[in-house]
Amino acid sequence: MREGRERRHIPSWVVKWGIPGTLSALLVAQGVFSLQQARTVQTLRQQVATAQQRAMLEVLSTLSDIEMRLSKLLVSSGAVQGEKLLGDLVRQAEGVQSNLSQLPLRHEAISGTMKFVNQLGDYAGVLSQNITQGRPLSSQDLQQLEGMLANCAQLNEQLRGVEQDIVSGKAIGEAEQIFWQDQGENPPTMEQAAGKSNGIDYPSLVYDGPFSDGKHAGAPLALAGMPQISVEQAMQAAVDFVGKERVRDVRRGINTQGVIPAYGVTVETEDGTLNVQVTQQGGQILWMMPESAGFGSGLDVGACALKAYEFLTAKGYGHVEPNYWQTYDGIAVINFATVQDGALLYPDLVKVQVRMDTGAVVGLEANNYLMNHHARTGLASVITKEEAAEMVSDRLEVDRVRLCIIPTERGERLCYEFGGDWSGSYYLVYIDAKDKQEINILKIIDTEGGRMSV
Amino acid sequence: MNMQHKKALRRAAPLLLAALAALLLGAQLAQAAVAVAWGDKGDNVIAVQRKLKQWGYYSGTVDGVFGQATYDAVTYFQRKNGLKADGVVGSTTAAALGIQLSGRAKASVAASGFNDSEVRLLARLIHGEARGEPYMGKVAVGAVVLNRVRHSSFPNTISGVIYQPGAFDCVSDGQINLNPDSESLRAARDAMNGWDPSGGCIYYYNPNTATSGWIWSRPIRLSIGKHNFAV
Repeated sequence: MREGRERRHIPSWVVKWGIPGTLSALLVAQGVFSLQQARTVQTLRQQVATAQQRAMLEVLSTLSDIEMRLSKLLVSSGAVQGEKLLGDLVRQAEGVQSNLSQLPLRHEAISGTMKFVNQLGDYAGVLSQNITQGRPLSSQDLQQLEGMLANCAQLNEQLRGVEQDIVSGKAIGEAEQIFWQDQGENPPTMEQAAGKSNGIDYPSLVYDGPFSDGKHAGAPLALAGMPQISVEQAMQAAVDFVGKERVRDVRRGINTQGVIPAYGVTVETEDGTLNVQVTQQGGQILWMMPESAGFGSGLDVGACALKAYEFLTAKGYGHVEPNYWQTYDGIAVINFATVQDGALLYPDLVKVQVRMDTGAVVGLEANNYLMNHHARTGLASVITKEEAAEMVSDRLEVDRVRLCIIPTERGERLCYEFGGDWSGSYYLVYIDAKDKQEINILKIIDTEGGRMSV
Repeated sequence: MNMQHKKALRRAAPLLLAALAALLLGAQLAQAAVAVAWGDKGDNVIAVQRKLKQWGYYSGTVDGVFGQATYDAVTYFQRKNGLKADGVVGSTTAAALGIQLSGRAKASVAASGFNDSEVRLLARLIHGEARGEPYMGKVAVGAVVLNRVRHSSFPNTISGVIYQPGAFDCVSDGQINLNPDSESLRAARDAMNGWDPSGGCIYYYNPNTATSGWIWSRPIRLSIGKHNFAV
């Protein structure tokens, strides 16, 4: 190359000092940069460790508070103290649960402790409600609380060792190492934190709450007495449900187990692929969903609701009424409750998905309907509408009243539903039609995408 | 539609219409508009009845109660004027009648919902965990999160479950911060509306990449795409 040959001679001092000099300067810069990086990492690590230490210490101190309050509760005899202590326990259990879920420990390690505090909080809430309603702690309650106190004391004993490590500055890294590494099928748990225990056998806890061990999903009432069907029958049921004229192809899909075991059937239609689950007992539709959506628009929610209603009526769901709805991705989801003798049965819900361009039904969800639907007896109210209305706040400008059944933790309740306005928002107030108790209050939220309640 | 079905539909029609009216009113309310339909009472109904009577579509009394006669008159009017004969006096029909509807629509019943930020968080998790999975597998991942929220051994909120350390790979590697696509958003909403393809499962894992020995001891309920779902 010409340019190369004409290149000027580089002074020797540049060769001698310049290149090593530049390299050393780069090295120094690199060193400074690494040092800064290391500092940043150190700071971040410290921040994370501090947050974890705080969470761990809060778990420990709150758990010992819980132990103390449980013991006080067992010697308390008055409603006022009882309620106060139970209220504290609800809040403290919530605090432990929240902090526990921030610890860098495997789910397997903390799930036992997590369940213990979740049940404790849940149970305390139920007992507090009982006391409010004039029902003091029963001997069974006291016995269960005593068991919980013993468990809590054991747990605290185990964790005390960990606490000292944390306070003395050791991060929970050590615990993390124990609880984080993969230890096969029987990994250590938090209850074995001090390494000298076989864990705690938490007794099962039975009460009226969502986390109660006594709470098992019963058998699906709508399927009672129905025979088991074959997969071929299930495929036929899916085709009949979707509508023969729409079906182009049908094949087996993925079966699901769970409370209501079902055969999976995949149906190809003019609306795309539909996944359908047909109950193995009775051949009813558990759910159906389209593989793809993103449909166009054109129909309003009312028109979609009418399509959904006609579909449900044709498929034998009996008397249903639409209530809330949502629209997304070109689909309108319309929620229906069944009606018996004019009363709305909120536990017996069916949800229907309708294409907002053609009105074709592409999805359905009937788990609640299948679990709960049966002919109700005792739909006659004990108190009159007017008597119930006395219990509704004067602030509410009531414009409608309706008898309905609503699901609660303690089973179904027959209620009067009062709908009314207060300060620009719409509320639904549920008054028990037998004992006049205010069971629930819902606030209606209307948005462009739907109508919901909170 | 067979005869029996038609009969059943006709029997149920008044109740259906009342319910639909409430629903429609809700839809209208969301758009800050008012409509009048079956079961309504009041000044708006009086205005509608008066106009229909003046123009000879309605022969009943102007009593302010939207019943069968008013419904028939409205649909008659709508058909005659090339409007959608749905029996609902919304903004279009009201304009054709030359009346202004006033006031606020009545609200109807609802069931519980999740707020928008929870929907987006769940959609981001689904997008991060189950991108490329069949749609059923996406909804199932969303359902597992919600089943955990309801389970005593897990945190009690959606964010608590999703951000539990080590619970989901996409949280650890930051993929949860990707923007969810429309399918993940739909899957999140379907899961929140009760669709549960997992049938109540609280775990899932990819058998090709799962590193925990413990997870293999959980009874598998079903497999969708690359994921095993377990309890």
